[in-house]
Order: sequence, then structure tokens, then C-alpha cells
Amino acid sequence: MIEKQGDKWKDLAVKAQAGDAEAYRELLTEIVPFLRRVLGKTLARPDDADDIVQEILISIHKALATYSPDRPFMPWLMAIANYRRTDYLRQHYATRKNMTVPVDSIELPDDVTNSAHAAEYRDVETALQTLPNKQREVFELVKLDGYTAKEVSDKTGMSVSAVKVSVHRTMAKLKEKLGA
Amino acid sequence: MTSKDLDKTIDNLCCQLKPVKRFCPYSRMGLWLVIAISYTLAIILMVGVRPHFLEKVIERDFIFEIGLALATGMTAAMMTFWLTLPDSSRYEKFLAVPATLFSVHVFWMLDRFMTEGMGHVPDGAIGNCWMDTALYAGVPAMLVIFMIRSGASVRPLWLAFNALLAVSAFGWIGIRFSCPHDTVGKAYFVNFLPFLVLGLGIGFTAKRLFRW
Repeated sequence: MIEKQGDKWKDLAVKAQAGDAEAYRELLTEIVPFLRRVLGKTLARPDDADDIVQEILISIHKALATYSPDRPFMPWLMAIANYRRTDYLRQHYATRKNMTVPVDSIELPDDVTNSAHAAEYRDVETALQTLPNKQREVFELVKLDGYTAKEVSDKTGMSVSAVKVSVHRTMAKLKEKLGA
Repeated sequence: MTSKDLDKTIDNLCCQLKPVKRFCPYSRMGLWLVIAISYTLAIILMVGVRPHFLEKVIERDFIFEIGLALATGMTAAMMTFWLTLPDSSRYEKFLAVPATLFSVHVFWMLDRFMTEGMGHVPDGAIGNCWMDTALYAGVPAMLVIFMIRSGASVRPLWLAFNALLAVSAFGWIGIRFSCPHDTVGKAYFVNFLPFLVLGLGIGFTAKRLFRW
């Protein structure tokens, strides 16, 4: 499969060397998913793959004259890909980017971000464990998972008012247990 | 970076595409060797060959030294141009050849140093040798840098090492043909020192020099 692909890309590369822009476009377009796949396996953060793929495409453009159809295409491509990946990672580690995480990619529960509340959450969890299963399930669906009384009613087969009453009673019980 | 950005990059690259002439390492290697050898010979003739030249060229040690330097220069030049290709890993096993020849030369120098010592080094020799190095190595060095910069090496340090070895070998042969002194101090330390300095300089700048 890879051999066949390599032969096809070899032909496209030869046409690109002659100035055939369509063949060149086809070559680069077909190479992108292949490179993404190869790089994705070797990177700690697969999001970086597209940045490296772009570098590789530019490098292929610069080095196009160094490809000779006497030699297989894949080693030529992979040599450039590995070189650019190493280059990228070297810069990445040199600027300590491996030690930073984009803020918007952080997904942590609230209790983890505020350690002062961690003990209180534990107490609530312990108090919840003492409740009957059905009552606890209804309470968790409404108060923790954010379902409406109507949605919980549909899920559990209880009436809407029964759900509301159950949640109200559970809140009262918990307050009593936690001394609030 | 998104797929859209990559598509845009591909569009830009396709717009910039022009027919390219294939980079042939063999023709470049041949051209450089012809120019480097002709240039070295021309400078030897211009500066003048050393006294008693004909007697010297039949001396066993001299033939060995020059033969070793010539073999080092030729193989290093071959390796240099091979390394300008990204997929040069197929030639990796040949990397050891110029490096080994160079090591033999260094051992030869050390052996001579152990048995003969430094020997006589004439006053002002260092200054003259730097001038000679600039004369012998300048043009081949600039030419090889110009010729390999159009390649795309993924091993810039090895490339710089071999290019330096090639230039140094021919430059050193030129100096040995025109310099009348054969002592270890002169032939190796003084004549070799400028190439070492040149090498350090190129070593530090290799990655920038051969960036692509």
C-alpha cells in the first residue's frame, strides 16, 4: 500500500519538478493526512502536528530540486519530515513550551481549582451516600448534573411535582446532616 | 493552525511553483573537484614549488602524507555533496571513510611528533601560513559553500565537517608542495592551525550557514 502510494507520489513529484502545479497540488494534498498520521503518533500534543506539517510542506517546496526519480520517494519525504519534527521539538523544548498549557485547554472540576473547598465537597458526598438510592439519584440529576425537573421526571417516571418535593426534602436532610 | 491554513499554504506553494533543475550531487562534486584541484595547482605554480621538489616527491613519507591527504579530500568532497540530499542516509556508512582517513593522518602526525618532536619552526611562519591558507583555501571554501547551500541537508554538522575536510586537504597539499619546511611543528601544527580555526568557525555557524 505504502509502496504504491510512494510510486504515485514519485510520479507527481517528477511532474511538479517540471512545473505542473496541479500535480504538485495533488501531491501536497495527499501528503498532508499521511504526515498528520505519522506525526500524531510521535507527538505528546497531537495539536502540534499541523504546525509541523506546514513546516514540512514549505521544506518540500524548498528541497523539491533535490529529489531524483532514481531514488524512492518515501525516504526523501520522511527524511524531511523527521528533520523538521526534530527542529520543531528542539525549539519547543528550548522555549519550555512543553511546560505550559493553553489556559482554554484546561478542564478541571471546581473543587480541584480551590483546595479550600475540597473537604466540604467530601462531606457532601459522604452525606449523599447515607440517602436512599432513588432519592440520591433524583438529587444528583437535578443539582449536580443540571437536569430540569421535567427531564428527571421523564427519566425516572416520577411526576414533576414528586421530583421537586424529593429534591426539596433531600436539601433539608443534607442541611440537617451537615449542620448548615 | 487549522486545515484551512494548510490549504492556504498549499495554494501559496502551488502558485510559487516553477520548473526546477534537478540537483545532481555527482556533477557538482565533479565540478568542485576539478576546480579545487586546478586552482590548487595554479596557486602552487604561482607561488612556486618548494626547493628540491623532484627529490621530495619520491620520498616514501611525503608520498604517504600527500596520498592520505588526497584520499581524505576526495572522499570528504564526495561525502559533502551526498550529504546535501535530504535522503542521504543511504550514504551513511561512507561517513566513516573520510573520518577514518583523517584519523590516520592525526595518528601519523602524533607518531612523528613522538619520535621527532616539534622540530624547527622559522620566525614569522605563522603569519605566512595564515596568508597561504587564505590563498589556497579561500576560493574552494567559498565555492563549496555556494554549491552546497542550494542543497537541502538534514545533517548540517556532518556536512560542514566534510566540506572543511575537503577544503583543508587540498589546501594542505598545496602548502606542502610550496612550503620548504617538513618539520612536525611547521607541517602539522603551523600549517594545520589555520584550518583548525576555520573549522571551529564553520562548526559554530554550520546550522545557520546551511539552514534551508
